[in-house]
Amino acid sequence: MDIVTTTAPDEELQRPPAEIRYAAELAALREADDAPRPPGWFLSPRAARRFIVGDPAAGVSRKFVGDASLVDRALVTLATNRGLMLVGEPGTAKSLLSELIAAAVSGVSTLTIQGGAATTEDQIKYSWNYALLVSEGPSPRSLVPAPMLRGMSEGRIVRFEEITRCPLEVQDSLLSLLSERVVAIPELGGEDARAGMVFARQGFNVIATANTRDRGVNEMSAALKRRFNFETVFPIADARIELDLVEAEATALLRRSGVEAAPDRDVLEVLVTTFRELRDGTTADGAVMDRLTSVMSTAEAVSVAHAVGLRGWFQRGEPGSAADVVACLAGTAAKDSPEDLARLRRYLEQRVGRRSGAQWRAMHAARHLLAGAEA
Amino acid sequence: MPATFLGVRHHSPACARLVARAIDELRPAYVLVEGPADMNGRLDELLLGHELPVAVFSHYRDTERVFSSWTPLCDYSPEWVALYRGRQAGAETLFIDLPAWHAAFTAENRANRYADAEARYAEAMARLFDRFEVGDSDALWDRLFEAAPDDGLAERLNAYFALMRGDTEAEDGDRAREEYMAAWVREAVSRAGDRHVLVVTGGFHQPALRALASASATNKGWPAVPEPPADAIGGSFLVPYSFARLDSFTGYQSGMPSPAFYQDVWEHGAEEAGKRLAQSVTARLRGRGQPVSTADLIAARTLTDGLAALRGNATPTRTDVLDALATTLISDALDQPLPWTRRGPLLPGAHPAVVEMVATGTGERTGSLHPDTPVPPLVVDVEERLATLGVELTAPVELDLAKVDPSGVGDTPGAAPELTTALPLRADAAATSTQESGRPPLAEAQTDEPVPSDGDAPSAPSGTPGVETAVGGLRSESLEPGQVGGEPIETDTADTRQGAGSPGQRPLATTATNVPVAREPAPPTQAAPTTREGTRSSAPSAEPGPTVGLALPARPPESAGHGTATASPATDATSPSPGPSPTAGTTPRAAQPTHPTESAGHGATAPPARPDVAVGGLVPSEADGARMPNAAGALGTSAGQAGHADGEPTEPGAQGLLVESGGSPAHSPDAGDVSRRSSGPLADSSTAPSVEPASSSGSTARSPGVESAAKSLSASDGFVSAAVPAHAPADPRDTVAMPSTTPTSPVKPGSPASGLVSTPGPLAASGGSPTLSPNTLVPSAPSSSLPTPPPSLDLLRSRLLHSLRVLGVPGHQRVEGSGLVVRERWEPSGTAGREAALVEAGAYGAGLDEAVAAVLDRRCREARAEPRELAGVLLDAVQCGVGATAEQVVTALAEQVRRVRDVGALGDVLGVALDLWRHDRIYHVAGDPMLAAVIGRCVARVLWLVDGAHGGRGVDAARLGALCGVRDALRHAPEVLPVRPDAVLAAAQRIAADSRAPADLRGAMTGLAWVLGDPGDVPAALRAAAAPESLGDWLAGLFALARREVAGAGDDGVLRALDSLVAAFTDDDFLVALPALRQAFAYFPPRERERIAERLLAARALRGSARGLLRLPADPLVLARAAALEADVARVLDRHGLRSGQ
Repeated sequence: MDIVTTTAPDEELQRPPAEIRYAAELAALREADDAPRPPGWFLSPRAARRFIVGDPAAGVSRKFVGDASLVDRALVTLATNRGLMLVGEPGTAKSLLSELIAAAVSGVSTLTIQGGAATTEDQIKYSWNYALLVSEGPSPRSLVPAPMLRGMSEGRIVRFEEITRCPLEVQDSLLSLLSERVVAIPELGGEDARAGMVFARQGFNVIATANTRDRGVNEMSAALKRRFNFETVFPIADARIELDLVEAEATALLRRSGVEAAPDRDVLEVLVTTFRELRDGTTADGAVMDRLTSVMSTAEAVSVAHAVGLRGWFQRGEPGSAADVVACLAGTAAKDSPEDLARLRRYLEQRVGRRSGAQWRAMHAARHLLAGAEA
Repeated sequence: MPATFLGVRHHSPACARLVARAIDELRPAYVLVEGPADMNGRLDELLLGHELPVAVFSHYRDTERVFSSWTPLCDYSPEWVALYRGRQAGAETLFIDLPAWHAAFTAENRANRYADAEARYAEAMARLFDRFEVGDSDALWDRLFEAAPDDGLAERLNAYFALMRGDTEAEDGDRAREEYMAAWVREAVSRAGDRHVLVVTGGFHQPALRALASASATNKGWPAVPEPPADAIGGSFLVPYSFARLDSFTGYQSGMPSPAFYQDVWEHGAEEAGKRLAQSVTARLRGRGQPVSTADLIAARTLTDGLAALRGNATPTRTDVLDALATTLISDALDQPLPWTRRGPLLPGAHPAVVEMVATGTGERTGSLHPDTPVPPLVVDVEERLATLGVELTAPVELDLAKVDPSGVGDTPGAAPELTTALPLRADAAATSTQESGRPPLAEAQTDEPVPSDGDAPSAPSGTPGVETAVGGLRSESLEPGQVGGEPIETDTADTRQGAGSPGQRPLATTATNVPVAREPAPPTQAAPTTREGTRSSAPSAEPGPTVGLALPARPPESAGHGTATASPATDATSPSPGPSPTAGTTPRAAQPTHPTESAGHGATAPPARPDVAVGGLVPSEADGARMPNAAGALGTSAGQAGHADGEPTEPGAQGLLVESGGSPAHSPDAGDVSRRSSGPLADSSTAPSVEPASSSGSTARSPGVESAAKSLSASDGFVSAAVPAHAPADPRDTVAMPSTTPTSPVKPGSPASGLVSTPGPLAASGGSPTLSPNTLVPSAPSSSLPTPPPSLDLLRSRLLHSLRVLGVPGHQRVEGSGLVVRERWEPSGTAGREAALVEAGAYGAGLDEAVAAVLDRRCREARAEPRELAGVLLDAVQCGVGATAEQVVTALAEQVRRVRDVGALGDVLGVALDLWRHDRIYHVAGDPMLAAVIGRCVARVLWLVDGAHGGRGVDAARLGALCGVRDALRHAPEVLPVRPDAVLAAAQRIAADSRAPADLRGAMTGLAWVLGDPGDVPAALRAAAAPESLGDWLAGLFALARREVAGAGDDGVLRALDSLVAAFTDDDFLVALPALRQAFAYFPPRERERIAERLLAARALRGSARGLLRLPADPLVLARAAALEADVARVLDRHGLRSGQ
């Protein structure tokens, strides 16, 4: 049963969810899927793994370039009675992975709760259509189910993004939900003990994501922590893969923005290398330096590459150059931390200056463009 | 009956089971196992009944390299099962692979015979990974073989190895091994007739072996087991091993991981092993206080089974279990990916639970040898050295490392790095021999062409000039009269020059009397036998070599004098190895074309002669240090080391670092070079003074030269001796007691090492034509570096005790002095476990030096990014006299320094390195270029780290210490720094002006700018930093860095400004600032404080006693508080009008 509803034709959606974007692959995988399938799942774990990690032989593209054994563990976790918690630095594709898994396992990735400081229990469990509530009283018709309730009743994967940004009280409302797999709606209860209870169907589970930057998982209550299996999503380990990804994404974004010139791969390589070194805190030759406090994630690199291309095109009519990279880095690095600007300045002076290569030298020459850094 | 080939993966329980089954089924006549064939005669030793894991430790040393490797065996090794079960089944079991020291292994420096070859077949592996959807080779192996049922195992293994190997041609080493093994197989097949032959080898060799062995046997009998080459020593013995060490091979050297886990697989099966692993991890985590609830374990178990099902493993594998445990038990974000998915050591910063999990997989089992197992050579070596040096286990040992031996040690400015250890002993020996053989060699020497071996270079072509130079060189040492190289030498030299040796001979004779001459002119070859190994081809004579240069510690000055006299003639050669060098020098020179044989012609005095020479005149030459190397080098070369001499010129520097103790062959080459290249090395030495000579000598002493020299020279006489010295260092046995060297005489100190006898020869030779030869030698040496004094007896004892300490052998404990000190006192501690520790340590090397070098190397690798640890290793290396390792440590230090974030640690390292670089006369590492590299990098790193430091209160003493180190480096070693002083000055001024930098850093930077010559306006800066909270900190920084400048400043601007500032403080402000001010002024020693007080008084135009100012009746803080209290009271009184007008 496909409950995805759209208000516009799929081609016009700005960012279609995975089950729409890859509908053909999902259908093909389901067709050919003969491996055992846990109750309530759309695909078997093997097929789901292939959907996410790719299977060139079957024409399935690779959608997640991280560690494949992470995908294994994530899928098996969802088949158990523990939830899956994906933690990691911002920009490491946790949400993307969560979306892909949900689409593969339950065919639907839109049962999503966006956590934040203002999240309330209503947005997690259920709320009421107050007009109907007042006029008819509590009834299934006046109940407005939130994603968690819908996922439980339909047996689907529910995604809870940024769970650690929710107030702790709100997080704790998940505790009994996850252990007992039941939500009580007292308003609908009657004499029948089970009338007001919504029990989870097979196939229900929760994927939560958390950033280690903001509040991280340190403040989560221990009781809630132990209802999840934790998986850390790491930044892309291989520089080549990251460069390819940045190049592909940046090219697509630039085309959509009306820029015809494709980004220069050498400039992108300089950009990606700078990001990797500032992210890890080590240079390619092993020297240790300070990391920036700002997050230098792959997603950020893609944005900067996009900005570089825009700058180059609309100012000079050519692809972005290393000088544009420097100018755009300030925006990334500064965020709200003047120390980061100083660290970036130091990096440009001392590390970049020692590198050979045309683009590196150009970058070094353009370091004065770093807005805001003191001389 | 054709042979049955079983290709296995080493240490795989599945393969071990396969082998056991095959033996049971086939009941073969022969079981041929991939293992060192040189153990075949000692298989009974292997099967004595040890508690596994044990290893066959093989060591090898020749003029070019030192090499150690292990062949580990544990309960689940297919090789072990083959041996053991084969023997039980009545088959004849044989090892059929090349010995560990064969070039096939040493070429790739393989320390683990049973390493995995999979790394070489990366492409095939990548395809398999994709096909089976695994991420790494261990997971693939587990899935296909360990966790899979046993049926079809043999076929699957065959297919796997065939796919891996494919059509790849074996590399040279492997091909040699495969051919050798095939020869054994063919012979076994022909002998077995109808019965089976089972061949158990690594799977990668199996296809090629099968093909090679199908040819029919040529019936020549069993293939011969190769012997080590003539100039090399190699051997094997059993050592206990441990799971931790088995698991510690990384990268290409690694085999199956997690030994404890696979032990369980072997004993209990794969499924049970998985459960036990989970249980052990749980127990371990709970033992460390981490809560692991039953619900967690249920979730882990579920996940394990689920992963196994998803991945298609029949039973959960190691990766499945560990993955599941990590996911369910760790509720934190990890900083690094899980480590069991890749090969390599645990990186620092791993989650503690992950560390525990990996450690559980490794296990703690250690093996032990059966009591009847023969003792490793290290034990014998240590005992001999203890006896030689007179160190009793039950008596305390007091050492004075700066004690100058008569040989004139001591006072060598910028001591050359080379420090040959065994020298003193040899010197004695040399002396002795010289005595005896004095005469003839001299005569011979005369006939020699003073060919300046190094001669080309510096050596003066004419004897006299050379001598002068040599002498001059000696003089430059500022040796005391009576010491080699001092006045007497000159005179002696002159005499000798004239007398062509007769004058020299006289002293020799005298010396001879002093020295117990145990030696006999026996050619060095005899000495060889003494070597423990017995395989040493190079005659021990080589050993004597090193001694040559040494100043006999025990020799009274008159000997020295004599020595000098004697040496003069011979040693004039300036070559450090007085005795030998001259002789050697001369001989070699003549022989320059290389051949020891020529020198041999001379007089064949064995190298021992050298020592004599050394004794006599050697001492001075030793002192020359630099000379020695050259001499040694010359000798070495002459020894015919020619080949070895090819050390890179750069080597010397490195070697200079420390004594050659490592006996790294590398040294030899240099030495060889030096000598050979006469002009080259010598010439170079001038440019790289301390280093070169040292190296040259060192190298010469070391192996190649020595060894070859030793060999060939035994006859060559002096030359040999020269060679020997060089060699000696290389030989771990050389250190200290040279028991081996003196085959005949147990007389250690004076062991006549063959060289002794010869020394006279060379000397004579040098005496003869000699003016040239000695001279040539000398000139070159001095120019380059300062002579290295031969190690004193106390220094050797210190090294021995430090080496034992580093190896963890109980016996003595140092109770006085720590770090680099001059006086040490060691007291006996309990000797429980001493034997066991010695046997354990025997696994690291056959000789004490080797073992220490190996241990320090391991510590160096384990220290990873901890510079303090590395500095500790460096210190140990210096104290144990292990030159080669110290080089490695310094290299590693230089690498690690760039990763350090802690300024304090950098300061420590910089301090140690700078001290060693500048001052070390005792250990003679001064001026070493590797240390220079460390210093340079430390300075660069410190400057990087302090730049941009913002905020912080108080005084960061560690940071100030680091900056003081930078200042010292700028003062004393500006040439080695990668930053120019003006760049540093600019940075210092910038930071001093940066208001966000912490106060003490700003003050320090002002001080640094002052030291560098451009202080700017210090009083103004002082005023700018005058906030009460930060004034003291600022001053602390200034005083720490620029104490001398402040104390000695011509004008009193700073003091006046400070005075006016403090006077302007209110009482409260003063109280606030006082503790920091006191701390700041504590950087001045009392005398300087007194002078400051005087100037202060003068500035205020007051008269009084400065001392009185400094002496306060009580703690100033208390006084200040008392003053404040009194002021308060006065105010209250005033308020109430109670104070009568005062």
